[in-house]
Amino acid sequence: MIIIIALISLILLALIIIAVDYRIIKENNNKKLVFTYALLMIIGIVIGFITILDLPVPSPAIIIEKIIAPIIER
Amino acid sequence: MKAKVQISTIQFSVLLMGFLLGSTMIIVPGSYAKQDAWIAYIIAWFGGILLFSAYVLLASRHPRKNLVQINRLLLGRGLGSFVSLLYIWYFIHLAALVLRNFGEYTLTINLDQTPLWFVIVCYVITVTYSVRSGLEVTARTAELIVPFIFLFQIVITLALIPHVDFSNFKPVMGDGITPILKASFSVLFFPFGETVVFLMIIPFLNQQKKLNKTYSLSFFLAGLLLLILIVKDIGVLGGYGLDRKMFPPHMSIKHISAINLDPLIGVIFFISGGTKICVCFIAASLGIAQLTESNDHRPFVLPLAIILVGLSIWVYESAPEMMHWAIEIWGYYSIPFQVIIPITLLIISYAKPVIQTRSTK
Repeated sequence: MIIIIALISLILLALIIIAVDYRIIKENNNKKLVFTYALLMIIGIVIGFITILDLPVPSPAIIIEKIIAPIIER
Repeated sequence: MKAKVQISTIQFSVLLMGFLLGSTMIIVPGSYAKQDAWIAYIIAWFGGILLFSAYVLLASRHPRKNLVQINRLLLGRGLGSFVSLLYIWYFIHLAALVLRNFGEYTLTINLDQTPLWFVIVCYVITVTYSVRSGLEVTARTAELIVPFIFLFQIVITLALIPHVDFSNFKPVMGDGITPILKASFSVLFFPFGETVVFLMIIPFLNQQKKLNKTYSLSFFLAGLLLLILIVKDIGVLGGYGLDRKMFPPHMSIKHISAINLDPLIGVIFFISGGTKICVCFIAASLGIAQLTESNDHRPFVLPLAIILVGLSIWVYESAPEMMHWAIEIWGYYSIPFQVIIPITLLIISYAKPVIQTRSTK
C-alpha cells in the first residue's frame, strides 16, 4: 500500500512540476531539452522512491567509496 | 541562460567568498591535525592559490566560454560531452553533500525532533527559487547577505578572545608533519579546489579583464577569514576538542554564555551554505542547458531540485558517515575533477595550436 501511495505522490509531484515548466519547454521547442527533462524527472522519481521506501540500494557515496578505498589503503 | 546575463565583479567576488565559506563554517575539514590545523590551512591556502591560478588561466584562454564549452572545444564533441556530464554529476553531488551537512547540523543543534526530509525540503525550496530566478538574482542576494557572514564572524571572534587559551596551540608539530600534510590535503580539496565550479560562472562576469584581480582578492579574503576561524576554534576548544566535536565552530561560539546565540548562528550558517548550494545548483543546470543546446536553464531547475532532495537523504546513512566522507573520501574523489581534468585541459589548450600549426606546415 505504501509503495502505491509513494509512487502516486511522486508522479503527482512530477505532473505539477511539468505543468509549471510546460510554457518554457514549449517556447524552447527543443527535442533534446524535452528528452533530458523527462530523463531528469524519471531519475528524480526513482531516487525519491528509493528514499521514501528506504530501499536497500547502495547510495552513490558507498559505490564511490568502494572504488576509492583501495587507493586510500595504499 | 536566457538573454545576456551579467554579474559585476563585486557580485562575483561575494559569490566566491560565500562559496568558500559555505559548509566550512560548520565542518572543519583539517580537524585531525588537531592543534596544528592552522598550519594545514595555510599550506592548503597556498595550494589552493596554485589550483585557482590554473582555473583562471584556463578561463582566460577561452574568454566567454564555460566549462562545458571548453570541454567540447578541447576534447571533441563526444569526449567533451562525457566529461561535462561527469562535472554536472559532481556539481549535483557537491550540492547534495552541502545540503545534507546543513540538514544534519539543524537536526543536531536546533531542531532535533524535526525529520531530516522536512529541513532539506524547506532549504531546497528557497534555493530553487533563487536558482530559477537566475544567476543575477542569486548574485544580488549573495551581495546583500554574505557581508553579514563576515561581520558576524569577526564580531564572534572578538567576543571569544577572552576564552582563547594560547597553550591549546602547543605542542607545535607535536605529532610530526604527516597529520598536517594529510589535513592540508583535505582542506585543499574542500573548500579551495571546489572553486572549479566557478568555471561555469566566469563567462557571465561583465568585466573579464578584472577576473584575475577579483578572483585573487576574494580567495585571499575568504582564506584569511577561514584561517581566523580555525585559530579561534583551536584557541577555544583545543586540538582534541576540534577533532572530537561534530560541529566545532558551533561549539566554540557556545562559549559566549551571556546571550543565547543559537538561532542567529543557525541563520548565518544557513546563509553561507545557501550560497554554496545555489552556485553548485546553478552550475549544474547551466551545464545541462549547454549540453542540450538550450538557451534557458530554468526548465532543468525543478527536476534537479527533486533529485537534490532525494540524493541528499539517500547519499549517507548517518551524520558520522557524512563526516567521514566529507573529511576523508571527498579529497580523493575530487582529484580528477579539481586537478587532473582542468590541468589536462590547460595543457591541451596550450598544445593544440602548436600541433595544428605543425600539421599545416
